[in-house]
Amino acid sequence: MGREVVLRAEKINKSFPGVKVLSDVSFDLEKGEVHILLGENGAGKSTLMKIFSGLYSVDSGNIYVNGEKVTIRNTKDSQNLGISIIYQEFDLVPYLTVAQNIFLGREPLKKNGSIDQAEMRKKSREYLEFLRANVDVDAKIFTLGVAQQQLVEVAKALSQDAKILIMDEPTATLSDSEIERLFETIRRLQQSGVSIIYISHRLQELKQIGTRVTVLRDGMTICTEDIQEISMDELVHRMVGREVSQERVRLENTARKEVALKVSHLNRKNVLKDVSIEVHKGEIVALAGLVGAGRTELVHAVFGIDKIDSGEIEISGKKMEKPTPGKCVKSGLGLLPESRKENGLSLTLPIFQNTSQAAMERITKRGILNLKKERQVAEKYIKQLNIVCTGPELEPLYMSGGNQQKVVIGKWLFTESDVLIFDEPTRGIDVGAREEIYHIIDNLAKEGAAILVISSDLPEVLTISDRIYVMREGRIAGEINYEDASQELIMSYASGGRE
Amino acid sequence: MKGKDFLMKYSRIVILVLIMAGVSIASPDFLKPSNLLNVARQSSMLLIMSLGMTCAMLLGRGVDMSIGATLSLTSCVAAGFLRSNDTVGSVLIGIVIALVIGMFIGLINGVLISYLHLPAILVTYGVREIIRSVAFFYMDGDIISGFHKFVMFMGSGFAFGAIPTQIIIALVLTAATAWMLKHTRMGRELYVVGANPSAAKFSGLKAEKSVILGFVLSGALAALAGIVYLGRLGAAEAEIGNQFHFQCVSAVAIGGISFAGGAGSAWGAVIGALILNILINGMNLLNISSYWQGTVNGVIIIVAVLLDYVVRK
Amino acid sequence: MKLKSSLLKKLPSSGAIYGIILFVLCFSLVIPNYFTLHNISNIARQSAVLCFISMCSCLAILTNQTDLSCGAISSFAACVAAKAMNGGCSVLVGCLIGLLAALAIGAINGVLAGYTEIPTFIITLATMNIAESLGMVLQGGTIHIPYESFKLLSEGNILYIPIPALLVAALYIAMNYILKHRKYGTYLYAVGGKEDAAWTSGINVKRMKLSVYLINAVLAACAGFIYAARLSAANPSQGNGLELNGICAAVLGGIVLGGGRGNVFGALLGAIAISILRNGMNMLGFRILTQMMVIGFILIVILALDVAKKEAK
Repeated sequence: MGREVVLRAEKINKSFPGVKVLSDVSFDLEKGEVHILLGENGAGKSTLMKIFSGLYSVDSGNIYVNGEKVTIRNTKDSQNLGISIIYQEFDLVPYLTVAQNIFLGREPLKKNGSIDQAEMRKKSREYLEFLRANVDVDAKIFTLGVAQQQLVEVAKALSQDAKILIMDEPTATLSDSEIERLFETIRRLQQSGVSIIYISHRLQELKQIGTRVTVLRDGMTICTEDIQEISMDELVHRMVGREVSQERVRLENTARKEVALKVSHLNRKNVLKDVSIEVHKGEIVALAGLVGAGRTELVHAVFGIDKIDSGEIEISGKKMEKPTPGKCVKSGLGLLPESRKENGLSLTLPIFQNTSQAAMERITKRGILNLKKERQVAEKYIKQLNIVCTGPELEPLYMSGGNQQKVVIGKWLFTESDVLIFDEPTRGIDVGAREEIYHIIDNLAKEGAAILVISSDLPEVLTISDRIYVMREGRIAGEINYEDASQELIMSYASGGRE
Repeated sequence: MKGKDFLMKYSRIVILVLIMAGVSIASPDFLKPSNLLNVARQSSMLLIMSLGMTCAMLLGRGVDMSIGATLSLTSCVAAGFLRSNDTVGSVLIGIVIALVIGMFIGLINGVLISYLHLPAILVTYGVREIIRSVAFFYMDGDIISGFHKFVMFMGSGFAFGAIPTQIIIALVLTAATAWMLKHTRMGRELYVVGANPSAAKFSGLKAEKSVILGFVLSGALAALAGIVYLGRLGAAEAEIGNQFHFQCVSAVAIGGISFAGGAGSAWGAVIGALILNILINGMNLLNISSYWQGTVNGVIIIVAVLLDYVVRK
Repeated sequence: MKLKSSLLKKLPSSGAIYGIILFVLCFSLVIPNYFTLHNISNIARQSAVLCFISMCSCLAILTNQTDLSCGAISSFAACVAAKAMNGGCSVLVGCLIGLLAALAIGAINGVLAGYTEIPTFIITLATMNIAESLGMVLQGGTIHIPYESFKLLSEGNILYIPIPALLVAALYIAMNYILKHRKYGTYLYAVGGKEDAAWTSGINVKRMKLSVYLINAVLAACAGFIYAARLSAANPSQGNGLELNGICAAVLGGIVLGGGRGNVFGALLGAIAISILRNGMNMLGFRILTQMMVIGFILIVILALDVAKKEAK
């Protein structure tokens, strides 16, 4: 191309204990381009970005900025090199003004050492005007909408003299008209020579804004192409083209028994829109979709963690009035939450106090716990689920992710629930334990439980499910039977390539 | 890893023994049976209150600053029913009234803390000021003395010939609390909610209920401590227990009850109360001004909590 | 019109101003001669102590911390200063020594708050008792101040204006300047508003937290001196409960628990409102205890309203 390369990464390798996240990733960014970084969850995008921003260090590989080899040790280094990141969660102080946020940590000072407010506001106004942002520099951040906050972040980056701007899913929470305005802003930045790395899942918008695209998959660079020269289908294929390594765990299961979980026309403002799903006894249904599509929000609403605005939930034919977690557990619904450590486990309590937690009535008689039985329960599940530990007294704090997850599974097995919802059951779990968890889920279904599995891992979805719902932007975008399912089909529903 | 917990558990006993050894070397009077009995007696009331503080702190929402004032109010109100010429029935009514008031104060604390998500320390601090002044109004400067022999027996009598009754009461309550925490569903829920309120919620438990329960227990035990204290002092007045909350915080901090919630046991409170009182007793024996007690309390809290955080890492 | 709207903007969104209006109205109706020059200057003198303490609470809450020790530090500083003056130091040197003593406790607070994970309410609860106990150790009680001139700090006038009022004015100007016009002030808000964002912007969060307790120690010492000047004596317990009044005043003045929101003016207005309330209750012959009860109630009500306000957003 002959254009100036402002940022180049060569053969970057990065491992975390037990997992290789990036292997020999190479990437380059030309001046004034919008380079799209595409990949599934866990493909390594955010790790790469964190390396550019100095939050992670590389194991091996080189980074060049403007042709010079650099080491980025911390955020300060990265800022000094003119790299700025705008995360989905904005790094703004809600109760400070726009101007104060733009110059936080780098306030212009008067001779007497006090902040030069006039200068700060004037400059802030200039940056915002350049972005054609209609934002009052004296407004407090928390009074602004998401789109405006994003512009403040961009202005902050500009004020740091950023030449390379990394935007992580910038359109995830914007409305259509706001996205249009954001694109205008990006084009203006491009024209002024700023280069942009743009991370997104939303295929339909890539052609509008991108120059080139790099696809990452399983920590490897798959390809870098001119965006105009590659078709959407091809991109989807490269993104998900991972070989399904596992054998399919599920045997064909076509016999539909009675409905165990029925959700009809569920609505929650800004989160869920008219969601209806059904899960039958003995069936494993997967809930696929991109991060932020509303899957976790859906099951939280069903389980009574979040309030619903309208809609009905039936568990084993019984309608739930104002669901609460307590009522749901009693009616035979269990939820294994996405964040084990925050919501699934009492990390500092011994295993046996975890496994009994959701079904304490089963070991209680007239208010008194049967501690012996409680231990036996824990021992049973330790054996049955092959939990590696020193005994039922061990606190999950000291266990691996896979074993922690098995403790959570044990806890819900003990409730003998008719319906179990698994939210990302294998996230952060090594391959061996994954297989075990798949078999546990499969066995549960064989014994007649109705299972709903949320997963962002497409091979996993194909491995274990009988039926698949795909969610997008709070809606059910599609329903696929196992026979028709493919990674491409799921991804195209999930990213809006197909309605 | 497991070893660390053993260390945590037994380190406190080791510290207790070391402190006892240190004090007995510094002052030979310490090991005299009469002095040891004295320490045990002094510890017993603090222990009863610390049991309540333990229940409240297990929830991880913060300390209960109101227990000292709760003790004052409940014992003052009860005192009117416990006079030497009152009937046994009246004494029982007095004790029940004390318990009811104590639990009611705990209920108010618990509701404000759980349903309004207010920081426990500020709520209980505010409630403390209110009940303190209610106690003053109730007493109007009076001192009530001359209690029923049953009350005197509880606070300063001897059972089985030689053992002070208050020690027996304290130990029985400790055993009961320890049993309740370990063997009942109610007690278990305190740990589960305290260790991780979110996981408790996802398991279908009602966190608010447990928070209220913890503070109600705290109020009830403060009320019981008040009755024992009446029998020990032989008199009731409005300021009787107002500074005790701080000693309780020290005792539970030394006793390994975590400020983060979900960890600690009733027996920890025993060790905490003993260590604190042995230090105070040692200072008395060595003629160190009692004015230093606050400093010792404060330093102990900081050191104990600091150790806790360091070991947990 | 423009003037009106800008005036409206200047109005604090806090309850303090409305509290002041309400209290003044009520008291002026019930108390004859409420609006005498004497009483107004009295209020000005009395409110100074609370103004300084509520500034401590303000800074602590702004950075999402708690300072329960400021009341005890204020009396400790006054006691040390009084002791030094009795030992032959001049007023100025005495005050300086008192200030250093306060800073020592403040440094303990700050180092623990900034560099360990111990919750600040536990740290300051501990140092609160350390400060009070050390104050007791000095002389075992009230320490008389030998200099008549020291009294001027509370009772003197400059151009008919009470000196404490001038000190509060100076406090307002200085703190307002620092919080609004210095980098330090913006960083305080940033640390309390969103610690992560402050960190990524290169602000040394730990040092900011430490610094808050050092400033608080200085402010608390000033409060202690003014208080001692009024009584011509220092007492280690004189600051008991002040911290609670301070928190009450700050929250009433619109400093939001959780950090990052509120301003100096609000905190001072809150302090003035509480002082007017106490003054009025004094004039009506309410006992200290009634006042405690009222303050306790107000604290809980304000906290509840504060939560309601947050949840409405």
